[in-house]
Amino acid sequence: MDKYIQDEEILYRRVSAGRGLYTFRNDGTVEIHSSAFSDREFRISVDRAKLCGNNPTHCLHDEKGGVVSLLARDVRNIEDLARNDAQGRSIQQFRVDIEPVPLENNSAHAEIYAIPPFGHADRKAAFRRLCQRLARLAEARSWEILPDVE
Amino acid sequence: MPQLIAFANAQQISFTTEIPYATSGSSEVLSRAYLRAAHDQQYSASLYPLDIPENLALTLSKITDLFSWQDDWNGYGALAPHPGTIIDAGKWIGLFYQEILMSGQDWLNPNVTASADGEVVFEWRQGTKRLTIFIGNQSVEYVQSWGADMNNEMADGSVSTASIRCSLWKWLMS
Repeated sequence: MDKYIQDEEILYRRVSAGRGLYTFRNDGTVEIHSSAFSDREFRISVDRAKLCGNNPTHCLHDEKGGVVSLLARDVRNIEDLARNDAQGRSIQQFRVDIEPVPLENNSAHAEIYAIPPFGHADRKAAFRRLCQRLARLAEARSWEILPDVE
Repeated sequence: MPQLIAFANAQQISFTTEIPYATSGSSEVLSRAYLRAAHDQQYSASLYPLDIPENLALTLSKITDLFSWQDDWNGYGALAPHPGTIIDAGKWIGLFYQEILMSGQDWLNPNVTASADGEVVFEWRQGTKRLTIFIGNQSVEYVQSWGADMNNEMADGSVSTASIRCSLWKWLMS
């Protein structure tokens, strides 16, 4: 099994239905809200497309919702993520990476994380900004599976 | 031990039909009782001290729906919003709505969701601008975003005063 996620790899993220994580626009496109990438441990779970047959339905687990995707290279190219002091000056820079974290029931599982790891101080600022950025990256791509209209 | 909910006008309602057997059960019983009350037209004025304007009713309904969310509501281990946080969010959005109207500005209904930590999250969009408000335990914070650059096109902070709320709205609507 690959222990390194190549830059060209596609990463899937499930977006559950009925949770306000996306909104349909009048033109038929679908907005993704930053909460779709929220995580209690600051490590955002994704599934590696190449390890689930490039089949995004793998992520849904028979639940309602949709599947968005990110390109590993785009995630690693995230720059200027920082912890700032009260005056807005950067006091800690972060890189963003992805690593395989296979689970017993999901060998395709991986996690997006920060280097150095986010601490409690980053919960309300740096991590939220990262979620905003990931939502914009996902919106720039087409949905892998569009959710049903609610 | 009877479970009591005290409303803003000092009206108290006793829910004694269920006796919780554990601390976590107490919260669950109370939240279910609140949910029942929230759907009861008789108590709606007590739950929301200010008159419920029609164009805010949909938002308040979405906030009430949060009571039914369970842990792992997003499939990735997210915590269910705490009932107290949901109640605070309902009060906050009503207050914010009144402030916006009194300032003569237009109101937009937000998207309503939650964070993995169980905060209630409101988000508004206008073009490329996004205003996200996080209602947590004893805290209200914001993130502004007007582009992808996290350093130069995003800002965040605490929403601690009416002045901050007003300036955030003016930014969003400008």
